[in-house]
Amino acid sequence: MEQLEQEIVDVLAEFMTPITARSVLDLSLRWSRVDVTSLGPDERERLLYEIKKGVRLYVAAAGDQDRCIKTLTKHLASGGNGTAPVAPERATSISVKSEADIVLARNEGRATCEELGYSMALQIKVSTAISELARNIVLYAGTGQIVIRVVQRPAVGVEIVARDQGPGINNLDAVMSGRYDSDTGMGMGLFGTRNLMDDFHIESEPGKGTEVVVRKYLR
Amino acid sequence: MAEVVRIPIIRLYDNLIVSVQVSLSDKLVIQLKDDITAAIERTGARGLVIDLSGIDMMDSYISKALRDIGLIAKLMGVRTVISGVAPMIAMTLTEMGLDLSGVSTALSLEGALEQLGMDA
Repeated sequence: MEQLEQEIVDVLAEFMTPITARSVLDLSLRWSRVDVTSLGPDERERLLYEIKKGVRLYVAAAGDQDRCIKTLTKHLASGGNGTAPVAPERATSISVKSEADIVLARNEGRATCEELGYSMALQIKVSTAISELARNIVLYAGTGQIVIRVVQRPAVGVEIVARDQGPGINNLDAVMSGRYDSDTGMGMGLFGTRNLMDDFHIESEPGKGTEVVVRKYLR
Repeated sequence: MAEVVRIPIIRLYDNLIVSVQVSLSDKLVIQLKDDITAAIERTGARGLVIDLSGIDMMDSYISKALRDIGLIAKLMGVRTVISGVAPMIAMTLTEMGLDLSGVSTALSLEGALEQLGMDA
């Protein structure tokens, strides 16, 4: 499915069941004779007109109708051809120096998840992963940086980058195997983080530092 | 952000009860370890319950620390029961491959006290 189509369905689905949302969009596309891959201003207008009809039909409260239409208008205005991101690309950078920053980072991650409408289960996974990554920075590198940002592709999700200029990991294979036993934790931090996340990339060079990039997608 | 919070340890007959209702930081966990050890020595308690129903997440460090507390308590002749781990947190722990083996667990504080032989 096209990115923009998915976004429209996502917005609609906040106000109606996903199946209804899907069919509202399908019908609107058909009635407006619009191809979502090539949206000019006219096409956008026509599509929105049809979707509005669907919204008025399926969304009961007038306030909700307005909210839904307003959000859709915004999406369509910024999302022609799916080139512009729809949810704001926000990134928070936290410099991690001490143990208090670990808590700060994971709370920030949780807040970002909440904003995106993550389930409690996903929120806990993301904040746990941040906790592991931030702790590694404090324990092994001393200082570093955690960047939490919202990504749109390949799906809406949260990306966490943990970067440091610490000693690096010289036995990466062992650490990632889940059978490594560190003094501080269970040797399961990175291994566990990989299991919790959808994407996991690590680059580490002894003497230079470590960068871990993980992602958890909304669905 | 100075942390002056300390997790209280309550004595109930022969048992010590620790109810964690705040987000656990590393410092807090280390402090708790010391406090519990001291409390066991001071009170001669036979059982220890750590209720985690109030925490929002648990990572490998916290798991390890709790396991250590259980082990220390065991060496001092005290049985530890951990209670109240929320389903989502339990799921996250297992997904990570972490476990609390060596420590007894209970669904609730009541269940934990029952395990320690205290009847209502």
